[in-house]
Amino acid sequence: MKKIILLFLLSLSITLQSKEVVVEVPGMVCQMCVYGMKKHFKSAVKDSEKDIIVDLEKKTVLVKLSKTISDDDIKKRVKDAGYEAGKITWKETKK
Amino acid sequence: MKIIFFLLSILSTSSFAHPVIYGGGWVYQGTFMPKMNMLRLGHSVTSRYALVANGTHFKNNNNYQDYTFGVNVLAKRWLQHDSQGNLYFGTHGGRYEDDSGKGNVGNLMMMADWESRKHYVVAKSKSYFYDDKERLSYTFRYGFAPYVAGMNTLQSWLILQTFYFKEQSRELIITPLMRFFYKNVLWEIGYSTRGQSYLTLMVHY
Repeated sequence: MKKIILLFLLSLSITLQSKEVVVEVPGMVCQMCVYGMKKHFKSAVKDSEKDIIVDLEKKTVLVKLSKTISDDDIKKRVKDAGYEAGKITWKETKK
Repeated sequence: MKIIFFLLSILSTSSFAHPVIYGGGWVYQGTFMPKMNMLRLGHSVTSRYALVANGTHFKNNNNYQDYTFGVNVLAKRWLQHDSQGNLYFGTHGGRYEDDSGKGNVGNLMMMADWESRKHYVVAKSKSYFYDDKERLSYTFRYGFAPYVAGMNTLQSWLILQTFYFKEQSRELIITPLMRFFYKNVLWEIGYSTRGQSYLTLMVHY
């Protein structure tokens, strides 16, 4: 019984958590960069308008992920958008 | 003075989207003046190279028209925190037609740009090989953003463009223009010192 409760609580904690990642992208200065980033992170989020936030001032991309992706995957997506990923910072947020 | 003109000439384009954009991206672009029109459809296969189809019309140059297909390559990108610089090359080939005949045409293009969120400089040279001769066009631009726009707001630029193509005008065409960029749509309007209107429309997808 204890195990079942433990498993239930564990699954509950997983569903109540979502992952956000902040990627530094040096040299990202133009509006077109925003569109390129959104295009390449679109498949990792639910709503690309709300869940991908590009900050041209700080040169960061905040992605509220709907699925698990690795650092290498993030680097590849940034590269496909024409840039090099800098520091990658993971955050866990509770919904 | 000669050095400045040489640098402007060597580094100088007629339309100023990046010749290569993000991987999988498409660009539709049209530039329209009363005596000069250019159309471009481009697909960036990766963020390093793009396949492009071009159409050009120079009314003053014997009513020259061409339709070409080719490749643009991002040779080098320099990334700083607040700016980026790029060097591009392109080679295109196709058919031309003017008042004196028609045949094959080839283009070589070189373009360099540097941009931050407040300033940008673009220079491009493009050669036209046809009828056993080479003809060169040069373009140079400086742009200034009066304010810094955010992610989903209208970005505006004030731009000064110079264009020289001896066969078309025999003199430098200077065009002050305004550029607006909203999401994936860009448009530019201007009026040259030769009294010609200027319009560019561009969509990235």
